[in-house]
Amino acid sequence: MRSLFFLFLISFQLFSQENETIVINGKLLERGTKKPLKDVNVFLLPSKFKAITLSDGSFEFAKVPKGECELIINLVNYNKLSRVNICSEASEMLTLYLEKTFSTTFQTTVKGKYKKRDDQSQSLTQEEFLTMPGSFGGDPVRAAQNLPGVARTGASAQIVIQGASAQDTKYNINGHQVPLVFHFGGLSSVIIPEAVDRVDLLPSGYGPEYSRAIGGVVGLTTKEPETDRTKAMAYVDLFNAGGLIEGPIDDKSSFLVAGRYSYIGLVLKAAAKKNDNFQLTAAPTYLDLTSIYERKINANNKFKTTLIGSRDELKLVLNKAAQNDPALRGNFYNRTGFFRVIPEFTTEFDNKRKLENSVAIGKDYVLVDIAGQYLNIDSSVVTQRTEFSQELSTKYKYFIGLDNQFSWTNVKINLPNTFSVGGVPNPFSVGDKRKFSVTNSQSLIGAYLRQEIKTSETSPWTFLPNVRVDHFSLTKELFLDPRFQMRYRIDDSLYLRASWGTYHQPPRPQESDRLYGNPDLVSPRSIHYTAGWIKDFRAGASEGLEITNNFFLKDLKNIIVPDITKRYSDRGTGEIYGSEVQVKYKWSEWSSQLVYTYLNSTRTIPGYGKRPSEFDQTHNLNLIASHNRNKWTYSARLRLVSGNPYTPITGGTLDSDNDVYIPTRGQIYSQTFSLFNQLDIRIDRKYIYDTWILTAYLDIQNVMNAKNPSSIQYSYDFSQSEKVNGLPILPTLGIKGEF
Amino acid sequence: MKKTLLLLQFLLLISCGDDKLKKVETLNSFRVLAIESASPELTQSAGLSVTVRPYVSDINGNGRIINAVIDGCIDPGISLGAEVTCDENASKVSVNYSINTSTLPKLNSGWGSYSAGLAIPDMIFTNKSNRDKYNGVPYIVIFNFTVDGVIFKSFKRILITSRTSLNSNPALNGLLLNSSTLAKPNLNDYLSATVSGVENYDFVLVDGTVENRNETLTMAWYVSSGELDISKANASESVKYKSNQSSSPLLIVGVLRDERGGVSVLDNLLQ
Repeated sequence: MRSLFFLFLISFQLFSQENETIVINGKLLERGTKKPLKDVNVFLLPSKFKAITLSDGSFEFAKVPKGECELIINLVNYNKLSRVNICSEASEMLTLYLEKTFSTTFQTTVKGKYKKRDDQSQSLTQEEFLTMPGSFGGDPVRAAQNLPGVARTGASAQIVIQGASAQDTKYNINGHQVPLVFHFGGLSSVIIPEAVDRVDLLPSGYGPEYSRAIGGVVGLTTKEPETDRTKAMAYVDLFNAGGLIEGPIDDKSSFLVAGRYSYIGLVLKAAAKKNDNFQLTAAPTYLDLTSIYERKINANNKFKTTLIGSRDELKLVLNKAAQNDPALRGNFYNRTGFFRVIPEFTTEFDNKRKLENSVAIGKDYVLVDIAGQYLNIDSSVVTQRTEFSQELSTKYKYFIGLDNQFSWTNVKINLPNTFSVGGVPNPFSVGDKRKFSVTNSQSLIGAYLRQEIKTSETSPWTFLPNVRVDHFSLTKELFLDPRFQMRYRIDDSLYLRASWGTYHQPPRPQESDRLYGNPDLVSPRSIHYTAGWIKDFRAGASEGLEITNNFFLKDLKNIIVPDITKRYSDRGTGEIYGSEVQVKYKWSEWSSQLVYTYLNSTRTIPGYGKRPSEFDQTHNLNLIASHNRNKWTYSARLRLVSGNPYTPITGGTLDSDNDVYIPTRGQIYSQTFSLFNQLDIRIDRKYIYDTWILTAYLDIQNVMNAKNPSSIQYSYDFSQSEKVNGLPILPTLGIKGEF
Repeated sequence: MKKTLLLLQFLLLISCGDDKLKKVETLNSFRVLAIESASPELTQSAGLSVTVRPYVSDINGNGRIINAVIDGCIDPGISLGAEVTCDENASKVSVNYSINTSTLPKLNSGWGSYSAGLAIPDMIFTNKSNRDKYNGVPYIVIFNFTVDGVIFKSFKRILITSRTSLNSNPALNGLLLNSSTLAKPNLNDYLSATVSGVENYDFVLVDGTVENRNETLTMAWYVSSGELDISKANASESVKYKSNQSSSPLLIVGVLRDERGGVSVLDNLLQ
């Protein structure tokens, strides 16, 4: 009996053990970013239990038999995760980190695929520009220079689109115009790349939403701050350092703060110590700051405020007169900057009606002082945009909006108005000396209507009869600019498109100023014609081939040119035509892109005849390839571009009073530099830890150290010359940590 | 913004160095260093004429006769970008000129003789604003020297004004070495000048306001051999000689300018 009791007791204990259950609680996060992964299946073997993660990544198995088990998570685009020995004891909350098979340099949450509104626009997302070779550490605007139609501008801090002039491109941030997009030297744009969601390029034929740019528009859109977790990033490289922090404030609000400071000046200062010609008294610096606050007020209303600030400063002493012009000697000081506060309020009444309002308030300032000759501009700026859109039916949708700019500017100037034609300026000291102080205001009022019309629901045709009205207060002109676009869908993979439109831009302030320029100028005008097609061979897959081809023609009128009696005249004309091809191919771990632009760009200047324009780059080829494997990314870019035209100088005339030689110009832009060729490579290596990611990158520009002559240096009397090469091999080494 | 970019380009250029290009301060071939008029400014009146003379250096020319044509005309708008020429200018007058450099004792360098008089047209003030008349309407004199088949072009403005107080040439009184009597410089020696004649004048700005200004005198330095750290300096500034001298004669030329067309030249040949 006694032995029977013990047998029962042992059997009971064994039975109890077999049926004892535990609870397993866990949280599934993305490795490195700590991003909660929701709606992920978590399996427990051999019991075949399944749990699904919630929005915060948490999951629970309620009654798991104690004993041997294996937890398995197998999610697309992530490495498989397996855990054993977790069912023997009830444990505290498990934290599991799932690692992505491939990740971009900066891990950002994609809020949804950007729906392109304008057929003509080309965009780069953060994922694309952060890893693009030759973009100097993932700069969005530098990366945009790889897009079709964008000229090679060297160290210029400007974007030149489809053979236009540099001043024909306008820049905006969140739809609001800003005076500049690059810090000096064009090394980096004025917003830290990780705070930018995408960069858009609007070349010829763009829609009615923007204007005042006869060449095109470059737009940066800041990102929406993360709402599911707080994250931060910091980086340091040879030229600058910066950081970003973003995250939720509460259930409805989120924030982002980012900043960057460049110490490139310290490098230059060290270099300048060996140079007798100039002394850097203060190292050149630049800095920028971005902050974003976003609040989802309710299901229909959203509020976002963006603050952007940028400042560049340089101070030095020119010991030796630059270009032997005595006027260019002594203390040199340059300060350039701007800031904008951009509140935006968006109301989505329903899925067919939307109202967007935004205002940008800020200041622009420029100070250039060369030994007492100065230009000091201090401008207060308010820009305003409103757009209402409504889809009345599946056949008709419209967007109606306002795009206004107001500015109040104080200008103090003591500078000669220096004549320049064909890229050859006269010496500073020969110029028409101007000294005055003036306060003025100007308004640029714009309104537009964009319409998308289909003749029937099944029609392959889409017509966009758009129109824009602009009023420029300085020139007292009112314009009605029709901009017509159309699209024809042959099938889901092949589209044809065409556009035609008129564009006006006001003269630059110095050109139309009463005391410095010619107040009788009228605004330059351009008529754009484009036609093209898009073929997507991917058939809905993410891999495969895409081809885009576009033809463009631009007819330029009233181009502002130098004039020897009125300082400026509007009697210049121009013609630009060309074609662009973009071929993208993505396969497995490889992606590649071929971008080729052919163009012919001419200007006719009274007295000089019809000549090539400054950026008449007949052939412009970019080949880009990248390979992602494990935690390595290798990418390369090869650029082959026709050499820029230049104006030869055939001699000089001594101006005895100013002790300087005035150049004698040959035929304007009649000669060209040799073919520009440059190979850039970039290597990214990612080290992913559970709660943070370290990325090291090496970006080498001009790996082959190609000479690439880009300008000509002359002796004091222009009787001797030598070509000046572009940037030599330039490596940038950086590390970036994300938390 | 464009001006800022231009300036940055200048910085890039000067930082690249210009070792292969000839130096502005070195005298080793035919050059015009300055053009002088006895009166840089003249009060407008009927029957005005002007005479000018050039300071030339022709060190390796072995002494020769160099011919020139001098053209005079109302400024076609050089400050606004017009080409430096009197061609197609209704006010154009021309005279022939020559200089015999073998008569110039300092390594064939020195002043040429004064030119024949160039008549300034009475209509020089036609269609000019009061501001232009007060500040001065430029009449230009162009020297076209032909040397070995090459034309060397240089010009000077003579301002015709409604003012009665006229600019006069500044005075370059002496050249100094290390603040003492000029002698042949050696490495790291300093050249300087004693000057006088800074004038005060009124200038009408583009907005009509009258600004009272003082002239700023500048010096341009030239040497027949060796290098200077800077060749163009303020008149009160000294410049460093950057070479060890050889035994050959050294010509040092200083040209003083008052930024209004006034000029003065002093040269020294040091054995």
